[in-house]
Amino acid sequence: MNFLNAMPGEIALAGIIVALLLLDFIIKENKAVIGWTFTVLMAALMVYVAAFKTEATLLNGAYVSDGLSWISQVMILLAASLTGLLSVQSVKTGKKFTGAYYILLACSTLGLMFLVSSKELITLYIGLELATVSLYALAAIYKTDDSSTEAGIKYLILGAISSAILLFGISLIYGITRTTYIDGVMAYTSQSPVGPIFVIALIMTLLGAGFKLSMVPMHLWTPDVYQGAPTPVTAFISVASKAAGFIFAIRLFSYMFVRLDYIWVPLLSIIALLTMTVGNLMAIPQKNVKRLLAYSTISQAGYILVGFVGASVIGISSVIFYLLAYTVTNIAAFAVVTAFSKATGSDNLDDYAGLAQKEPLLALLFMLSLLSLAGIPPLAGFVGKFYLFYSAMQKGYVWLVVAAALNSTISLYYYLLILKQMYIFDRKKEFPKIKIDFSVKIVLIFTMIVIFIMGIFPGPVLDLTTDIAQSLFFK
Amino acid sequence: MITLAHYVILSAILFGIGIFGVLTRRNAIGILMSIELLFNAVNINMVAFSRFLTPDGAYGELFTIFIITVAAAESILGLAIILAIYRNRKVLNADEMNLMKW
Amino acid sequence: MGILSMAGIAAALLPFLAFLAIVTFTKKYRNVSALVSISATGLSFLTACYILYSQITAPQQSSFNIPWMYIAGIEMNMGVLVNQLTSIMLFIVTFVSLLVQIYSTGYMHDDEGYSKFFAFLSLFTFSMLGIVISNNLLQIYVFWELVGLSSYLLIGFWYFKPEASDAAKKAFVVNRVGDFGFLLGILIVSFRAGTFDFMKVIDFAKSGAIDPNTLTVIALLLFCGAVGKSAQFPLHVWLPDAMEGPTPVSALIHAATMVAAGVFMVARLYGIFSLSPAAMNVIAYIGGFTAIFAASIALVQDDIKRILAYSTLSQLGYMILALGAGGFTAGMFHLTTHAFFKALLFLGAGSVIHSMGTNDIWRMGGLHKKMPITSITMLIATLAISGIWPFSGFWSKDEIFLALHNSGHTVLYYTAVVTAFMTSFYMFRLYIVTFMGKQGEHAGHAHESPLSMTVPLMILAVFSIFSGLVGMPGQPFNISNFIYFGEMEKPAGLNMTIAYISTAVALSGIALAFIIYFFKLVRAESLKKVSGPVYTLLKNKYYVDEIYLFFIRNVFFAITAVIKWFDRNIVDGLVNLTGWLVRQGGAQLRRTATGSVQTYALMIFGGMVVAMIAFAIYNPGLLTLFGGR
Repeated sequence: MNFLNAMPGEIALAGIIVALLLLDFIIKENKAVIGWTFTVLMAALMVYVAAFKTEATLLNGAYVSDGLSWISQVMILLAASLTGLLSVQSVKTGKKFTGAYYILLACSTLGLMFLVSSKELITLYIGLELATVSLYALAAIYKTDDSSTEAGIKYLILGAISSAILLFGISLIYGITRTTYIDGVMAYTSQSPVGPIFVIALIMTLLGAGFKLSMVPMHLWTPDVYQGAPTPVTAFISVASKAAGFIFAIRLFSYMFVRLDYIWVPLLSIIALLTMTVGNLMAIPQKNVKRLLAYSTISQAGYILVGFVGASVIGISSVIFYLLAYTVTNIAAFAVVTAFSKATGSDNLDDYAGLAQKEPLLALLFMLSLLSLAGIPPLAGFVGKFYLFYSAMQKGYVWLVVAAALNSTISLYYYLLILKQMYIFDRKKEFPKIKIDFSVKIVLIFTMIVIFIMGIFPGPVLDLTTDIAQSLFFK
Repeated sequence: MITLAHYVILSAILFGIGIFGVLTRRNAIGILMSIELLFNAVNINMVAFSRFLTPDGAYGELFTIFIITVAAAESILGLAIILAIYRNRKVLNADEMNLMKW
Repeated sequence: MGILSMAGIAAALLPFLAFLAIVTFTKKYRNVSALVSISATGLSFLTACYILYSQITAPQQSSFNIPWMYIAGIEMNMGVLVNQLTSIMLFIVTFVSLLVQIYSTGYMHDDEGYSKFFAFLSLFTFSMLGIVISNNLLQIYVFWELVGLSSYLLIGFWYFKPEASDAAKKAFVVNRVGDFGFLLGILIVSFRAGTFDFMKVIDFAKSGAIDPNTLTVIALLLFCGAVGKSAQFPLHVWLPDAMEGPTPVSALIHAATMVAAGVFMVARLYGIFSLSPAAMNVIAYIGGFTAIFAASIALVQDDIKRILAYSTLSQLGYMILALGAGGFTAGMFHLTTHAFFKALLFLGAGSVIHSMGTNDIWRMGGLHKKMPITSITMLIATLAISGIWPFSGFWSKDEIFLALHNSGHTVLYYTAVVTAFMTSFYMFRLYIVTFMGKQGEHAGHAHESPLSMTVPLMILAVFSIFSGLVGMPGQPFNISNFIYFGEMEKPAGLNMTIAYISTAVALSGIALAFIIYFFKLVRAESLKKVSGPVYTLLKNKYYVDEIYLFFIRNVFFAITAVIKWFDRNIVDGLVNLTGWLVRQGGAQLRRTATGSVQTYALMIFGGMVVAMIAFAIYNPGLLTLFGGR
């Protein structure tokens, strides 16, 4: 098999990382060039990957390029380029670390791309670690800042613990099935009965994988890391890393353990319920916007898990659709936070008071992205949520859908709290005029267009995700 | 005669000690060391399974080497961050690294 | 996508772009706004002309469809459908809209909300064209509501007048009643058919998959929409009040186009209606009743616009009646001619009101000398609506009579004839009192309106005279070869008996009007005395509004009081309790995020152990080490 034909995106990205390293050596003064190079290359790579879809299996089935990996790679590269745009004019790491910042970002992107394409547990683990270790460093990139370093160490310790749990689960699976290939494990589960050790292994794998999804009880790192890390990094963690985590979960549950759904579906449905409820309830008293958005992403993860419970084509299709919608929406929200905190140096919710009078456009965009997160038509979030709940409904999980709908209502409460701050309250402090950087403007315009298109006109995207989900199930 | 079960039980005990360490060490470096124990428990498992169950393949050993490498990278990064925190705030205890909470 | 579909989309979108442009950019520049709006509608009109021309030369069905959503086995698409019916409606809507906008530059000249007015007119034109080009029920419903919205905005355009804002609310609320039925009908039939597409739904209904009773229910529910929008009895009450809006609005929306939407919808879904004879009968009788009912009220009204409003009701009743009696072509034909002469009547009335500053016909009089153009064009329209040969109304009314006669609805036929008599009487009453005889108290300073207003009048007058000729038997292009349902109807010959009867009836109505109001051989006052209670009944519009109000005040409010109590105390209480619980939950749960990494780790390991124990309990069989599933 020709590697260059099978995984052009990954190889090109590896090349880009080397090129960025060289660029960091060559350019001494104007380091912003590296950021722009990164952004442009990521966008170009995304277009290339999106345009030239490859179908291939490498290394005896350890590595595949299929529809699922294709769409998630596009998603990850999109998130990477948008994060690049957010970073270029707002991340102030000093000359010494600018290069490192973008190289780490590129490494993390590469790791995530490996993660979504792996069908063998060792490969998967390497992809996972490449992505997360880079993110630990990125979270702590402001090394003289107390919050940033604290976010880094918390992320690292908890991440390491959960990957240890994941590994222990994997080692047990390996011991029982004598293979590390996902296909092999699936073949084993469809032929042999499973014992309690396998159940323990399954639970450990599920929880280990759940770290990236920030599902209960692995959720508490999320607010601290989101708050402490630089905002663009937070955006990347909340979007690309989470999306890849969900694709990983699709490979695990809707593929590898698909025969054991009687074991993990009850567990996952309870976790989904807990995740959205805990995320929503804890979001209500928050005063820091980034922390609030962190809890909101926890609850979003809970909604997405509802799609898994359906364990059907439409469920997986809606998970992918929702991930797309969630990616652009969350990036948009964090773009507004980036612009605001760059101008005012504050992430405090109270400081958003009266934003609508001063900056009507920024407030409007924030409102739209929050409403999309809350699932208000005609925005992308509504369609995504609708299909997620619909898939669970079809499988008879009425209680879960009712709980999810109630949770959506609760979430509206704190989203509206932000809107109330922006639109009803008067300004308390005087802040300088907020100048939205050119790069952030591009992000906002792009994401808004996508949010509206996916909300008003979801048909074509849904067709695409349904095809992908179908190819996953019937092979 | 040392059987597979012995190795697996050893590994489980080691994992338990690791968990205990993570939860009880106050010093952040101690926590990092306990995490190493968790990884090593996995390594023992992997090698033992590989030796007893798939003697003709080396998946387990391969996996172990990767785990050791990644764990080393993680430890280095962790120590670097702890060093940075120590320089900033003269703090080494994990329970004092709680600027962000609630 | 066919060129015709594309043209249809362009025709509909142009006014929308004008609306957006006015709202975002040109709000402050009144003349630019008017220019933008008029040129967009003008282009739209040219497009419509092109579509009509190509449909006439080569009738064809051009449609275009894009998938929108697919839920629970029901396909939802967005698309356009352009056929003969569409093309004629496109022409009428854009044509009248264009003329009304030109007219408005004169009529609304001194109004402060000049730009806003044109923005709303453009929005209305877009919504109406949206209804016309829709190819599915869902989309037509969306535009249906948009039309309702723009109608609301335009009726309440002078929102500072309490009557205007009340009328706007009334129109909206009354329309909701009909729309609710319409929506129910759409949902039932679409969920049965698995699609919203007109053609597929009709094919599904034709295939016999719906039992006849359900089909009748569906047809009647769908008809509810038409009852609301086309102001048929018993939902007619909003239209006369809607006359509080500016007169150009009355001409465009409440006479020529929007109120015709109901008729158009019935025509579009004729494939469903025609399958249920029972529903067709209901439609015919409601139409016939509205026709004579409204005409009788119009006999005694004094407000020039209200007379025209009741005459609109009556004429819409004619159209519905024709459709219900199976006269598809006749109904659409009358819709076409009516659009021209009724728009003309309203614009003429607007011209009079503009110069007089009053709506009361008794304070006018002798205006012919002062306003010759308005007077002559009004006379043409009056003759047309009265059905005098060779004006347009004669031909279309004649087709309705013929359809009724052929369908065997004798009662309805005589109802229509009596209505025709009333129509010519009250229309000439209006014309004589306003334009002939002695000059009224306000007539002294009356003056002819500016060219921007009189030119549209003259153009419409030409159409009011000649548009009926497309229905004249024996000439090459006949409307019945163009718009028909099912098999092409052969051009209806002129049944001389019916033609004579209708002409005689119309002429006697005119004669009576002259006797009473011109020659004053019989004094109107003594007539009032003679008719006594009947006159009072008519003057008060059969007390329909009062009956509704009585019902609302006594029955409806009593029910709502109970619901209100329940809502205030029990529902709100529950909501507040939930809110309190949620906030408390948040405050308590928050304590778990201690900020210490070890707490978080404890949660992770604890969660893992809990999950394992839960499994041990959940499935005890798993505890035996080598047990299987």
